[in-house]
Amino acid sequence: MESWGPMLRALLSGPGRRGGTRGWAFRSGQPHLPLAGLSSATELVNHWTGVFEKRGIPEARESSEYIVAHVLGAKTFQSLRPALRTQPLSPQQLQCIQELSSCRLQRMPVQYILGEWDFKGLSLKMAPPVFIPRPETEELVEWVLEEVVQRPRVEGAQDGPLILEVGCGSGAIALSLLSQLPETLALEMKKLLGASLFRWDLEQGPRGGISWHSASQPSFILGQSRVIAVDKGEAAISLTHENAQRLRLQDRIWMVPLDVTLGPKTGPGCGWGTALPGTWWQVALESFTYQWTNVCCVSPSLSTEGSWTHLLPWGPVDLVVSNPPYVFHQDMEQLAPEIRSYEDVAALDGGEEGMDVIAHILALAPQLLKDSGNIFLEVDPRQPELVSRWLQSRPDLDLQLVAVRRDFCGRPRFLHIRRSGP
Amino acid sequence: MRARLLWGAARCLWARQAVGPARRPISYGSTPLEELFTRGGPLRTFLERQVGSETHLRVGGPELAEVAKLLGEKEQELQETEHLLHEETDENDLILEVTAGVGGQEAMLFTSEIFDMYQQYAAFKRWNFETLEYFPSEIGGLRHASASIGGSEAYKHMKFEGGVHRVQRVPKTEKQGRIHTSTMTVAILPQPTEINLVINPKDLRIDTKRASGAGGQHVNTTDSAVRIVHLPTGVVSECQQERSQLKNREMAMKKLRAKLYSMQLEEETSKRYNARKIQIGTRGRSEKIRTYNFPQNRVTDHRINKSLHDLETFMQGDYLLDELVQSLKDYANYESLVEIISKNVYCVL
Repeated sequence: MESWGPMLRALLSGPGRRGGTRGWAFRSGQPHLPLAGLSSATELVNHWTGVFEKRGIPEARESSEYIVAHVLGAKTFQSLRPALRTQPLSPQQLQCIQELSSCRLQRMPVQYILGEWDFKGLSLKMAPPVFIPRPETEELVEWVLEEVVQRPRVEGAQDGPLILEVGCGSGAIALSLLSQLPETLALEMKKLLGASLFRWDLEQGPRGGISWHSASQPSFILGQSRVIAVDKGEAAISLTHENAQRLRLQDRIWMVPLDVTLGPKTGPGCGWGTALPGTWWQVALESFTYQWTNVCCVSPSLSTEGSWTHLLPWGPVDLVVSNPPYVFHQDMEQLAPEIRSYEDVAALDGGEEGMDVIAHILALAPQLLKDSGNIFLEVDPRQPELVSRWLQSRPDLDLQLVAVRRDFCGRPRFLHIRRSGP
Repeated sequence: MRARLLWGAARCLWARQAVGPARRPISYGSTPLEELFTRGGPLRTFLERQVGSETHLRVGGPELAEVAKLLGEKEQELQETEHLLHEETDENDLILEVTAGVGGQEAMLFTSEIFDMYQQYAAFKRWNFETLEYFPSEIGGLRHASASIGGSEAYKHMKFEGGVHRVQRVPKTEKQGRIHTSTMTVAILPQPTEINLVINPKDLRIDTKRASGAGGQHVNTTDSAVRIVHLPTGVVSECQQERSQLKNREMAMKKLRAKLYSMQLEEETSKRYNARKIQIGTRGRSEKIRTYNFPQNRVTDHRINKSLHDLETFMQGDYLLDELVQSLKDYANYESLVEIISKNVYCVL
């Protein structure tokens, strides 16, 4: 009898990711097939909640609600129209719920099952093993936005900020920053110039500028906010790329596959001062070609060998933001199966004290940041102390911990570090 | 100079007419009156010609000037009154809350219809409508829901909708064809601006499902529901409408601010509104304001004794509902004016 299991599984499971789970569901002998009496959304939610609870699946009700709502075209069960809750479902919908719920029984995170999740105002595509953004990170983005808006502008400098994100994952931080920033800038520019004088120029393409027309000056490009998104995982780079395109933000984001922990050892003086001369948009234009070759012709060798020196052609950045892997290595074993078996370990494991990648980012920052540039990091609640001590041991970096902010649960979670001026 | 006075007089007369209790303001579809009187407008040109003509000055000049002066003074008075009628919150956005009352499932079905009616009314007025929470019943009715409504003069129009709405009809659930009476409650809370209401972040407790454990990268929870408690008052606001926790928090905060603000307004104005038939805010919430009688195809507003027919059209939330809202606005203005006048009379005596 035992030998029938694998055979049946092989017969039942077609190609593709979900095949295996269907086979599993069958083998378990549980009544997971659509039941005749169950047809409304509410009944299905209750049914699957019961199944999940029995199998010890965390967030049983939430999971079944999200799955049923998703199949019916809503984001949450609470936002499902009442008529849809009581209406009978089609056989296709029942089948779909069945399949997705089987994935949940395998402890797959709901975000991967649905293939999408929300971050701030954006809906982002999610795919394993790319790290799923956590709600805390929404607050990190809020803080960065506050900082960028308050940033004192140098007289005559109309450029939006150039931001570097290390470890972009699905692109949540980079894309939510970009989706918020143009409006902020636009408002400021409106105040400065009067609404009639400026318009968005959609044809600026990769240079991503706002152009501004007035009688005296024929055409003048204003810099928009731009992000350079870096990740060492190919899956992350391509997911960020896809999300950027879905949100029509691809013209203002450059994706570079590289590992910040690799690269040539650098001494002082090898930083920005000696880099390419020229205005930012000339550099940006060159960089665009560069990025294109990287993203479109991404090769494994490039992605593993890419070092941080590839970032130099973009010029010094105003701000570095990162949600680096910060889980202490010894904590990795205790993570829930949803995280351990599905998410990229490299996006979570920060080494012995969770500092491995953080230290690399801080060590690189002086060479990538402008004078008085800022770094914003999400960290473990034990790390503000560690980072502060680490910075004291490296006075050569000219970095100062300016502020620590708590998350919505009151844990010290976010760091603001500033590079001292010249 | 005279032209200005005459123009003032005409406006004055027009404004006075609009205040009457049951009378409706003059012609909404045609050219606005203000426009007729603008510089170069037809009526203004006519009046200017009248005043300018020599004959008129010789015949009734002094009297005309006298009357014009008097009318000018009246205009001034009316402007002051208009200012008195204007409420601080009139321009604000608002939170709409609907709750099923007496009548079980039938009350919940009716609540769902009323919520839809206001959603359509918002679309008719080109306001922005965002559902904040929605708790349906088993058979497609609605237990409780709230929404944020924003747009031009939204609160000014919606503030008279607060109160108990009563429905009389044969429910879908009724097998013997008997007419039932059920109720639901509407509450309208003005949304404060940043200046209207300041909340100390220390007074808030924000509850989420992530509160226990390490948080951050260590956990992956999907429950994004947020509950905010305002500790000094104990007022609670919740939201689980969105997948983004931050979005839920923003919506819950919106609702909390509206609740606290209406409490604050309540205190300030309870004495002022005591005697009025049209109550707004929580004071009016327990009062039966309107009946929807389906067998007679009629809706009656009990505060102004006004009935409208064609219930189906009314429930679509467009021009018929707008007409009733307009009447309520006029009557409320009339009541305020009477109140002000009687107060002044009392002072004189």
